[in-house]
Amino acid sequence: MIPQFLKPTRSPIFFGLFLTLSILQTAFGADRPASPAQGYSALVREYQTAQAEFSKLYQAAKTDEEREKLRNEKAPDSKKFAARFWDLAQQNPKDPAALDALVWVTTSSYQSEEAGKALALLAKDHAASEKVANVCDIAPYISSMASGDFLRAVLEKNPKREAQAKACEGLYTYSLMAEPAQAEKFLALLSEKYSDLTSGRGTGTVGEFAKTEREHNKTFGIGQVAPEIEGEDIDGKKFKLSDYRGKVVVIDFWGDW
Amino acid sequence: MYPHERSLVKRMQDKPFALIGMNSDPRPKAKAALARENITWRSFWDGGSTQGPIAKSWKVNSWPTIYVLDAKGVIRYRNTRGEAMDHAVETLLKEIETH
Repeated sequence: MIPQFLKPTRSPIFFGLFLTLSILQTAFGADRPASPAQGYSALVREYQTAQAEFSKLYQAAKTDEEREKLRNEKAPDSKKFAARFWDLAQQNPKDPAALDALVWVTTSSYQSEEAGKALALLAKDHAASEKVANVCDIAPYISSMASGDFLRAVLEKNPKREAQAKACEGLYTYSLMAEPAQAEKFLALLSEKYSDLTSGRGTGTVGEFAKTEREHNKTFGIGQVAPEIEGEDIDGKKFKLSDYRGKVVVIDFWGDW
Repeated sequence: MYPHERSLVKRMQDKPFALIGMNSDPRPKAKAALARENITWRSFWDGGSTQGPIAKSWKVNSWPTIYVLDAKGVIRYRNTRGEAMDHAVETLLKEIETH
């Protein structure tokens, strides 16, 4: 029921005002800010669209030059998107979409600056969420002190065995990289508590992964003297690993791709 | 990989340190990479593929794989990269200085 004072015959001025405000609200309603969830979905769609476009063009490319040009000009920059997802999470910290945004940053742009920051927030506020299980797989490769803290938080706080197992596998991997004295402990925990679950690191179970690792570690584990390598360099000259005894050595298995 | 490795090698040039590559490319591709990326450190050539004898004996099944050895040839870290690699190398260099 239209209030008395708004009825056109009773009060043209108020009715005019009411009409104007209604029109204005309708016009600007379309520009009302999207909810964080809508903002998150829109960003995901934007990224996926850019990837699909790039993929189509890339597959149609006929020369290496064309392909390189496409890579430089059209490939969506996951780091730029990471910054936008990070902003969304920062602006809406209590919204569930913030968690999704943080997960996106870590799993889709693990080399971005924001990935380490996102891990720290996930450790602090979301370690018990089922959504962080997959983040455990990538966490060791996120270059940050936050990696270890995040994985430990998930192992300690997450109620799901699957998430704990992933965190434990992540901690084993992370330990080998950064805290080698801890590696054995996590390998043992994998066998003791999570053997039956599917490994995120190989093709079998966690138990099978741990067994393979133990076997490998007999020769190549932390604390083992590296076996001698005798071979030739790229120019064909012979040399040996033991030529470098007395020096700190990094052996880097690489290929050019 | 290359920029970080290049800068590490440069920083360590007067220290008891060596970065040794283990390359899995066919030789011409490997040589081209050395020139193009300004790779100043030595690499073993592992027969031209990821199934080479050295990668096989070290059970390498993902690339890159990294091992960090101390001055006594003992394996101390695995798959350490970036800043963590710098930290590992510095830690092991300190061990030489204090023994």
